[in-house]
Formats: sequence, structure tokens, C-alpha cells
Amino acid sequence: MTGSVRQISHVLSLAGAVVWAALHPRYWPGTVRNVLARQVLFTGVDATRFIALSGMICGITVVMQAQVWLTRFGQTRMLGPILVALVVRELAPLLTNLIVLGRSGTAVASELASMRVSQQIRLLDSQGVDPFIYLVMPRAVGLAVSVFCLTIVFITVSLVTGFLTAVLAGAGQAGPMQFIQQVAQALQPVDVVVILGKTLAPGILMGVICCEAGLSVSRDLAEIPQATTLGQVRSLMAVFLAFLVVSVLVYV
Amino acid sequence: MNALLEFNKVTIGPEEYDGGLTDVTFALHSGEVMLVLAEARHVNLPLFDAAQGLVLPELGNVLYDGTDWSVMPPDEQAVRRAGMGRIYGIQGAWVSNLDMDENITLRVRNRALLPDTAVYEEARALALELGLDELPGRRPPHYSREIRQISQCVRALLDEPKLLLAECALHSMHVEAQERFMRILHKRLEAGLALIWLTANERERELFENNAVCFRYEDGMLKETGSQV
Repeated sequence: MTGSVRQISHVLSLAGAVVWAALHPRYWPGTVRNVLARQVLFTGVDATRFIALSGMICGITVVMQAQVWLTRFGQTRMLGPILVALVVRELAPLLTNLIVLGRSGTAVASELASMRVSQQIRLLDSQGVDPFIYLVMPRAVGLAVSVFCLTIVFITVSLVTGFLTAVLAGAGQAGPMQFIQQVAQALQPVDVVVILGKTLAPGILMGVICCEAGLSVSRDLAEIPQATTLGQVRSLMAVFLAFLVVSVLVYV
Repeated sequence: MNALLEFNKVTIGPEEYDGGLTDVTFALHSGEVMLVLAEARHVNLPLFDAAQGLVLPELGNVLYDGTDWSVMPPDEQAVRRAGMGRIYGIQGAWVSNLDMDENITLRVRNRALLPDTAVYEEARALALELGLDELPGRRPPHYSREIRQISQCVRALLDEPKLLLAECALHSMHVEAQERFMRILHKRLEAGLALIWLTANERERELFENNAVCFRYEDGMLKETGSQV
């Protein structure tokens, strides 16, 4: 128990250090900005198609389920609010976080672990390049920014495909304007806070945990898969905990 | 004149290295050359890591520019290390997810004191002076051992470092490239560069024509053998 508390406080202090450093321009020389750009390209841009596909499938399945139950109770005009409650507030951020973790979090952990094993971290240190600023900060920020942007993509695609599915299935939607109106009415200012809280915070935590797991290996190649798994499991826990905290803070 | 680098009764264990250091004391000033001869099986020593403050001694202390590494704040340590050049021996040392030109210029670009274009320009000029056709721009494994070794020299000499730590610097380089490198090195030494030259090749003593203080690494000790060839 004490170990877990210590681990959590360690991760939170690292995440705090990342946010603090990220807000200071002197920690963003061109070399660090390049690392950030590459991370966003790999984690964000390269994953867009997969996220869009996932959003499409999510939108279709949610509408199909909603249609069954809403038609049964004669509440088809509730489709917009339900999509907002389910997709915008919960499913989109959660699934995006999980996809990014599976696709990029593990890659970050194994990349840094192999750099550690091959003494590249010491090489950076010996050239006066701070590994925390050069490796950890831009990766954590890159993951957070990517999760946020991909969540917006996920939400947009889900809502559009959800609407189209509803129209094709004859769920009583009069037109796109009415659907947009329903969605807009269901959205509240607090949803912006929820989306930010459920994307940026888990993204930073995921980045920090995966980097820390990767950098914690010694010089043994066999430790790389263990570090990757450890980073993945801890990140998963961090994502769920972050979701819980945000939901409790906002809705309770 | 204050020494640029001082080792005072430094002892470091052999863990992670081919050998340790025991009770090592020396002072290196600007413009001086310290030549360390070691057997081929002993070239991976903690000497350079200790000089850069990457490992702290178990006993004694290491001072760079008059300040003990052990009391230097991390930001200050990074600035001082960025002002040193280092040649990392036979294996070389490259960040695998960077291209060669990015690797070569990383130390200088990361300090953001000069525009990137100026850093690349200097690197390109040095590369040409050392006999390369251009600044290598692909990932390190795409290049021959010799090109990587010359690239290491470009990296180490970039931005006029105050101290150069050279481990087996001439390895894999053909004679012409060696001569070009030594010409640049002698100019830099005249301009005040301090150099520690670690090698397993006895003949490299001749490169410094009595201007180097020679040490021999034996049983963890650095024994001074004078400046005679």
C-alpha cells in the first residue's frame, strides 16, 4: 500500500514537472520542438485514420442500440442527448486513450528502454542534453495533445456517422440541422472541461509513466518487454483513475 | 592560472567499465594535452565519465573550471557538458532515432545559442575539412565505420569546445583523414583547447611531439611517464 502511494506521488510529481517545464519557453529549444513534432506526427497524425474508423463503428453501434431502446419508449428525439452523454463524455475520450496507449505508449516505453540499454541516455547526458527535457517532456506533451485532438476527431466522426445511421434506419430525425441543434442543446460548458480533463491529464500521465518505465531498465535487453508491459498496465490504471477523478469532480 | 580539469585522489570502482580508477590525481590546463595509454582491453575507463561529472568518485573529487561536479546544480552541469567535445571510442555513440547530421549538431543546437543554420554551416565546413563529401544526413547504420568515426570528430570539434575527451579517436580512419584531423586539432590546441587523449596505440604518442603529459593506465592507477616519446 505504501509502495503504491509512493509510486502514485512519484508519477504525479513527474507529471507536475512536465507541465511546469512545458510552460517555460527556455525548455523548448529547436531540438525539443522537433521531438514534440515527431511524437505528434506518430501518435496523432498517423493514428487519425484508425481513430476515425473506430469513431465510425462506435457511432453506428451506439445509434443502433439507442434506436432499439428509444423507439421502444417513444423517445427518439433523445438520440442527440444520448450520443452526447455516451460518446462525447465517456466513450470517445476513453477509447482514444486506450488506442493511443496501445499504439504509442508502449512504443515510447520500449524505445526509451532500448535507448537506456544501448547507453544512449548517457550519451545525451554527456552532451549536456537533459534526458528529462529532451525525451520525457516532449513525449508526454505530444501524447496529451494527440489524445485531445484524436478525441475531437473521434467525437466528430461518431456524431456524423451516428446521425447518418439514424437517418438510414428511420429513427425519426428530421434533418441535420435539427440533429445539430439537439446535440448543441445537450452539450454544456462543463463538457469542455470534461473533455480537456479526460484527454490532457491521462495523456500526460500515460507519457510520464511509459517514459519512466522505459528509463527504469538497467543494461539487460530482457528487461525491455517487462518495462513495456509495466508501463502499459500502470498507464491503464492511471487512465481509469483520471477518468474517475474527473467524473467525481464534475458530476458529483 | 586555474586548472580547467582537476582530479584529486579520485577512486572509482570498475563496475560498468573495463577497469576502475584508484587514487588518480592530475590537473589539466587550457592548451595542455594529457595522453593516456591503456591496453586495448582497458580503453573503456571511467576517466571521461568522471571528467564530465557523469559518475561521481567514491573517494576524492573532480573539479571542472574550479567547481566540484558534486555540488554543481543539474542545469549548470548540462551547460558545462555542452561546452565539451567527446569522441566515444571504437563503437561510437549515436542516438538511434536521429539522422547523422542531427546527431552531430545536437549538443550545440540544444543550447540554442546559435541559429540552426549557423550550426549546420559550421558542421558542414568541418566535415569537408576532414575529407567528407558532405555532412552525412542519414541514420548512422547507413554509413561505414570510417565515416562514422570522422563524423564523431566533427561532432566533438563543433562550436570550439574548451575540453576535448578523445577515446581511440583515430580508429578506423585512413591516414589522410587522420592527418587532416590532427592538423585541426593542433590549431585548436594552440587556441587553448585542453585535450585528454586515451588510446591503446603506443605510436600515437608521436602525434603530440613531446607536448603531451603521458600517463599509463596500469592496475587502476594512472602512472605518469613524463612527456618524452
